[in-house]
Amino acid sequence: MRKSIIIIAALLLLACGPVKAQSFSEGFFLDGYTMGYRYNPALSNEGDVLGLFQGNLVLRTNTGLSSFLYPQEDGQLVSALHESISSATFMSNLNDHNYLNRNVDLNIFSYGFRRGSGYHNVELNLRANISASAPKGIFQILKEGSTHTDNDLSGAFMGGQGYAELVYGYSTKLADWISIGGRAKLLLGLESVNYKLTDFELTMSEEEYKATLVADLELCNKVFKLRADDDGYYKILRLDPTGKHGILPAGIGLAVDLGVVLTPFEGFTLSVSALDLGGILWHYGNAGHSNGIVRFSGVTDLSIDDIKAKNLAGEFDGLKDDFLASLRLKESSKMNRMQSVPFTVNVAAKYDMPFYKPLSVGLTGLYCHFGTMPYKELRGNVAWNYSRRLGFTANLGAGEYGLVYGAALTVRVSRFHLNAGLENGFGGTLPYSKRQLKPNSKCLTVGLTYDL
Amino acid sequence: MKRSVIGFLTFLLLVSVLVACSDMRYDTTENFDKDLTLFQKEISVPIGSIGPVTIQSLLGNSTIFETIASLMLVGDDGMLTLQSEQEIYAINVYRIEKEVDSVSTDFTFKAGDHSVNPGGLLMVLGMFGLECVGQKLEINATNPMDVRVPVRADVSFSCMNSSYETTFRAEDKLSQSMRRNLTAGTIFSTTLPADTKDLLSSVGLNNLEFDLPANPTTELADENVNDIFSFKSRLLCNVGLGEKFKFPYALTVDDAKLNIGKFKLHKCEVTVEVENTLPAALKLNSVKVLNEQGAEDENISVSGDLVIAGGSLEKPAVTNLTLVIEAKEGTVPDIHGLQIDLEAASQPGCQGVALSVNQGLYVKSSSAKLSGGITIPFNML
Repeated sequence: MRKSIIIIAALLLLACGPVKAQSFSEGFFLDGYTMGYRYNPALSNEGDVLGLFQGNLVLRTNTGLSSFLYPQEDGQLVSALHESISSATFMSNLNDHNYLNRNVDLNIFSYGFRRGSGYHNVELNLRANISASAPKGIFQILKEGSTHTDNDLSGAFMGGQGYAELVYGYSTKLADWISIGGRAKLLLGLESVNYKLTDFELTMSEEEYKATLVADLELCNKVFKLRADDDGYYKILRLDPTGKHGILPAGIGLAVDLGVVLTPFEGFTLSVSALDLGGILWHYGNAGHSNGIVRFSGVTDLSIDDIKAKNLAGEFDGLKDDFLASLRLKESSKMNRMQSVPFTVNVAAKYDMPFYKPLSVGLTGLYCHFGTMPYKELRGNVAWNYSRRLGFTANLGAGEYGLVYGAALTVRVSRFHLNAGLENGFGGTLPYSKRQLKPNSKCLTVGLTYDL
Repeated sequence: MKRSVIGFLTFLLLVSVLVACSDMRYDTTENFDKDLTLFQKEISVPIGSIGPVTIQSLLGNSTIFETIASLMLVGDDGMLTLQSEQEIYAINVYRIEKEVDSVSTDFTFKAGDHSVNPGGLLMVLGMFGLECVGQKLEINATNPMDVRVPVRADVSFSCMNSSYETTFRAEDKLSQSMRRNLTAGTIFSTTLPADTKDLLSSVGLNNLEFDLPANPTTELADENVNDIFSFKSRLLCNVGLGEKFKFPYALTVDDAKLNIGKFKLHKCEVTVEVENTLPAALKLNSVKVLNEQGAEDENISVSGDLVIAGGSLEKPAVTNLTLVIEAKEGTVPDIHGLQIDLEAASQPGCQGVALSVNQGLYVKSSSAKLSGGITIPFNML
């Protein structure tokens, strides 16, 4: 009865959101991968495992470099703002909102061990995410100018957070065909910066520029603070040490991973997991707010004497400064805010070929929620596990930004397992930097585990 | 063995896919033109309002009119006023004592006839097409005595042009004798008829005489400060634009270096809405862009239909002007200065109207539209 309640509760929770960490999804298909509980907390190993420094780097953007860099026939490369690139070309390569998201998940150590009927794991992770979003209107103004009088630039965003994760996980088999697992995470916030233009409407006419602005800044850490002037406005480039320099967290939070693995029949495995459901309560070192309407209509009643005194440049400089000063952030008394961490939902199914057990095929689905930047994809996988010493998997699928592919390898030498994988999207890359030109989702994973 | 071969082939496939995704056609380190051209279609920037530029400030900026401008006052009614003050007659009390036979008893001093041309300075107005509107004549006197002094005189005045004299013949009636006790201040004041546009040519005090006490030097209020009887004429008038009014005006800004050459500007269109309450039409004869040597930059053309209609305070004339600045070849280079030449001419039908200090030119709004983009060199970023 109790197991049934747990199962129902878990399924209901999973139904509310997706499953899978933006971690190593390929690992689900590799028999030698011993940190599968990071992908689905219900996955476990037969023995004890120590993992060290598994790194997972994710880069996602819905607007590739090909939207901003253009090769010419003579082999020269120019930017989108080069005069040879038409506005129509540039605009057609942009989305209404263009965003970039980077996630770094560095596992310092992971220790998994079986005790009794359950499998336990503890971990220490360092995680960071950085994101930026720019509405198309910003680029349109830069490229075209004031051809559009009314411009809605709302939603521009820059931010990131870094935090440490202390994890305890547990999984158990409820029956031969079902395993469940969960991981509880204590999140220790280290750094959080967010600047968002919630509302930013810019009207550009010959008579007047008018900006209607609602913006918020939140900065949280224990190392430095922004300094406000006597009027309570922040000087963005003036950072003062707080004097604490401590390692105390500036935010604290909780999150859970939940997972279930079903094996309804021999050779078929279904995995569903939801990772990082939770958030951090940040205590802000600085919080600022801009709210108002700013107007710029040029000089007012400039006199002949001013013109003759050649003060025109000074007049315009003064006006520009006034305009920018009006966009300043005023110190806010709001000092606490709950901020969710990006969560991921994964679904995976694997079927071992009955005629050749080392070969398996399957599907993986991913949904990652990161504020206004959701991402989803579906991949078909094929895996070949020669033994637990050597395994290889590759996949091909469609993501939010087009075709994607991935491959991963696990190799065991003595008791060490080396795992490496890469997920990527199709399209050209820039020489030397190897940066992808097309909108893409890139995920790189490297890790080492040791069987105790 | 068979499994190993499959694994190896799969690995080769992975490597080939990864390599195939690299496009080596361009090199970000060598062949990357990093210059940015912003606002390629057009960008409009509000410049704002300028002025009002009143006739007084215009005159003040003209070396020719500096003298006239210095004579101008602003009346309580806000009208521009010119004044000319001249001494008709002055004599000190000691000299009076010497000229009369006996001062031991009260006596009458006969000063005789004296005149002056009060409009001499104001004649300059006519040379430039300005005219006097609503002339007012005052005769002021000062009395150094500590006692009231009765003074008598016949005040006469006439105008300059014979044609006007005809019109002013009626002024003979205004010729009058003043018999009043003199202390100090205005002893005579009159305003000429409103349609009197001619300047006064002379003001006379005839048969001037005043009654003094015995030994007048003993009655001086303060002999160390003032011992003079003086009689001055003061002519006040408003200023209007005559039919022949023509006023050239040049504004040169020769030290305002604008380093805009590097931005590769193609065309700049300046739009201006001007409100004119002056009864004069203004024509912009030329706008010259100056080069480093202070001479006109021949490569930059400035064009546009630049005539500003005249108006009045009651009916301001609003004119929209467009000034196009573009390079004849290439892009607009650095600008080292501007020279603006304009000319004001009287608007037909507006003559004889007094000018107010509030009348002038007012650029109510202006903006600049840049077409073709602004190039920002990479090394400026």
